[in-house]
Amino acid sequence: MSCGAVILAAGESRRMGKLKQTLPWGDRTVVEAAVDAALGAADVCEVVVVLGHEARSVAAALASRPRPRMRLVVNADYRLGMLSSVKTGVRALSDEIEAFLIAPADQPGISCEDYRLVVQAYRNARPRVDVVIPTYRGRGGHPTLFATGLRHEVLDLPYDGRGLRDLIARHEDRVLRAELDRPGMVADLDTAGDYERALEMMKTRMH
Amino acid sequence: MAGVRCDAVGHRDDAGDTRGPGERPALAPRTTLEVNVRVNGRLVTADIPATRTLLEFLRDDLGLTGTKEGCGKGECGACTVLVDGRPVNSCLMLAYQADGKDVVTVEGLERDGKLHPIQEAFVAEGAVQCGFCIPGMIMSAKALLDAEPSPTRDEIRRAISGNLCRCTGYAKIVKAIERAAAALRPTERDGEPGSSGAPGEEKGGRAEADPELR
Repeated sequence: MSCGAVILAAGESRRMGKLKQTLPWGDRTVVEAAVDAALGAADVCEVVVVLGHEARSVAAALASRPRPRMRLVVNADYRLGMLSSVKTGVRALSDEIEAFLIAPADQPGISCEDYRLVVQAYRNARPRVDVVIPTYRGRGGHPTLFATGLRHEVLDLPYDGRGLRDLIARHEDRVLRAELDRPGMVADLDTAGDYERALEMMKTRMH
Repeated sequence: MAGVRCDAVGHRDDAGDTRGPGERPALAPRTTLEVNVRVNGRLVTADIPATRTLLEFLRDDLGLTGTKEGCGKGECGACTVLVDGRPVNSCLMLAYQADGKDVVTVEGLERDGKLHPIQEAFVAEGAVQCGFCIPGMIMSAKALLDAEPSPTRDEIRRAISGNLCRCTGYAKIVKAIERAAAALRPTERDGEPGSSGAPGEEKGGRAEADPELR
């Protein structure tokens, strides 16, 4: 069995001031880098990208990605917040997966290897777990993995709660935090300053 | 529990072996070990260098900086954490030795943003000056009160005899632990992490070596 991935690319980038999904990231855009990491991960058989705000522009950036391995779904209710996009993506996953991984599109520093490490931690965990949260120096990051069995609980989460955090708290005994020493797992791009710093880091790594 | 692989040294690469007769085989150290440990109730897994101390793992890898490094050689007790309910100098224990165990740090005491009664008692008694030794003091006190809800003053002194404080003279710390014991007695002891009693590496054996504690 393999895994599915949900990439959350519906947000409005309010703090960034401009659409961050289509900002340049090396020779690609931010959303392409995020989607390519999931597409290139050996354990991931399907990638659902959730669009919302400026869905057409984001979809255009992904036009060359392989279908049906990557599917685009639109969350018309994206203004309800990230949980609405999580639900849209999870609903679109096929039934044949053992687990699904959720990652925001604004973390282009996540790599294929990061997906592999999280899936490996899930498969190796004894006792078995239902959730794997990768951490960097104790900070929770992405992609976060959920066993397929939790799918309906995700879809039933109320909008007036803390979203996935409530689900994680409810299943704390079956949550594994995997300290993976991968800074890209916690580096998101909320502001223009975050973006500038992340670009600098990427250039440093490439040279 | 999936975990420590014991072949920490080995795996010579014959293909590149240029040593002469009688020379010792080149040993390629295995760089990491997988550790699975419950930290403050949360299951954590990591690949860590075999030489990493539990203290380094908690502070540097997991970001739990409430546990302090004082002397780094097991004398001051600032790094005290609970391992399967027993107080341990985390600077002297290797992180992989915690595989399969339950570790509680000072961060693991609060509940829903509320301080633990032991922490509240330290605040109420003003048992803190510079504060550096306090996380270790509190963890030693926790181990004591989990095992003995009504300790005598001597038992309290013995329990914190592995924790050095260079500021307070201990009087207020002992009073704080007495206060905590009183606060905990009527209601507590319901399934807090670290209250289990499986054997681990024990510390606090300095009672006899440190009789002038007052």
